[in-house]
Amino acid sequence: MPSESFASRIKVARKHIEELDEGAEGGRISHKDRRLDLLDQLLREEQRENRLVEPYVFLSFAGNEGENLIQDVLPAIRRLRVPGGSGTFKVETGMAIRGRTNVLDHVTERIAPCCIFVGIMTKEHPLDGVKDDEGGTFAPGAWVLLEAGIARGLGLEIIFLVENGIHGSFWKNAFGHIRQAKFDRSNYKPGLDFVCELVLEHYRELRARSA
Amino acid sequence: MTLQVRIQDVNEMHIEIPWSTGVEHLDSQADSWLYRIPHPEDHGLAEYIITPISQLTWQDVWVITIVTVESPGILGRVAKFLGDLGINIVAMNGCTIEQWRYHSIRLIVDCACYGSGVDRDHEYRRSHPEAALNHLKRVLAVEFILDVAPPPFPSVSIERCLTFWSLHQECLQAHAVYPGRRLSVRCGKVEFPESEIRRLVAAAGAAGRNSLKILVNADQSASLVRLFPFRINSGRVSLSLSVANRPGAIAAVTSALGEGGFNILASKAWTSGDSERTSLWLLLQNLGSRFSSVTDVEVVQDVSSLLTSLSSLESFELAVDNHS
Repeated sequence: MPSESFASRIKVARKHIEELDEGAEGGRISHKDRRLDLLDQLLREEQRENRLVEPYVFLSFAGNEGENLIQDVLPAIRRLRVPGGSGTFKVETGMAIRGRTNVLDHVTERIAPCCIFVGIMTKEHPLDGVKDDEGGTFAPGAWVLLEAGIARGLGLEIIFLVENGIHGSFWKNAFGHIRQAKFDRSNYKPGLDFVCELVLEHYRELRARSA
Repeated sequence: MTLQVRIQDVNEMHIEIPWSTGVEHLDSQADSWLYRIPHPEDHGLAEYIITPISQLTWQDVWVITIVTVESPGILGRVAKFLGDLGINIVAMNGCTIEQWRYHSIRLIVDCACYGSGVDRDHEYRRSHPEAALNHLKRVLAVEFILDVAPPPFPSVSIERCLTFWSLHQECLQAHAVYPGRRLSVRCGKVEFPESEIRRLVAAAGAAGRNSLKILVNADQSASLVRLFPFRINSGRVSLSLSVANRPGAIAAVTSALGEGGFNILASKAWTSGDSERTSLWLLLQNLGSRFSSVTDVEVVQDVSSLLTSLSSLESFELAVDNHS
């Protein structure tokens, strides 16, 4: 049974629960919220186990520039065909919290079912003259670094899309060994293409390891 | 108690089965299969398996437990749902619970024709004992989300019958022969075939059937009875023990026996005397690392001296169950 049909089952079940009134059908639908939470939990579990059958890529970004760039990165990855599979890659982000107060828990739950993490580091905060060897004078948004750490801990493959000009202390020292693509703000296309190649390469490696 | 261990005389040809329905005409129609597993190293004393689950399904047999609200048609919907996925129900029992509010259904299913991206297929599961049916579990939970008890009540569980899977592995060994034979059930018991007793007696030697006993292990949860025939005076002795009931008492006794070179082949324990005492029944084999006792009397003496040396054991009572 393909997982897409699982997602549609969840959708149908959610609709039934939401449509029925509390206390309807002889109390059958009591604990409505608990049932909806259970559906969310089941979907996450399915996605986690389904990591390679229906692969998800987690896209991490921060700041205004990151938000601008994501408009192009997101559809590019969604268009990628899964090697050896029938569909395309799905994309998850940490946005759309929907009233949840614990942001870290929310983000962790979103990252966990994914198999590949793509962190977009854009120049967000000037460092007032502090330079690295290559002239980097900017700090990226903190969320990308934090989410990368979570993803690493959950066993995801990590890829970075790093804007030229970011100080090496923020990525090279800790993540320099990780596969990355560099880009200039004026022309990000080559960097984005390379990230897409890296996503496919990582996925092929994961499949080979799980076989 | 899902496990019942006892020693039975080989002359008592009727073996009690825990899956008996208690209704004579139903039992008489139900399958009970007898399988013989030869163990050449035990000089022809084969092990026997009695089970209602046919060997044909052992590789991919699972137990599904689902607790639903009491509602007309729910059982039919569950069965149809599983049937549509290619899952065959080979045994089932269900009962209303919690003052008629919920219904607990336990199904033994053959999943040979079922597969999914997450749960993989029969070919994978037959060679991977650690395989799980997590996708199926989730699909059931979603399908019956309005019909099951509210979360966090655990409403669906699926477990593999690992006992049957490992039995099948034995079957794959070159020397193992499994001639399945259907036995009939009467009064909750199956009749152990006379031909098999003759086979055992021949293997046991000149002393005949009076020299044989059968260790019976009835596993209700797995719907399985295992029979281990053994010779009297083969160094296997059963003992009853009673010690003060406190944390660590069973550990003290069993550790001491192990260190003394006594291997525990079968055991059961229960509390007695208003929970003041713990009673133990043990089938022991002396492997002779510290003691070389062979006769029943010697074994009792050696076990007694072992336990007396345990300062942590306040008092104990010991008795031997004579096989002969």
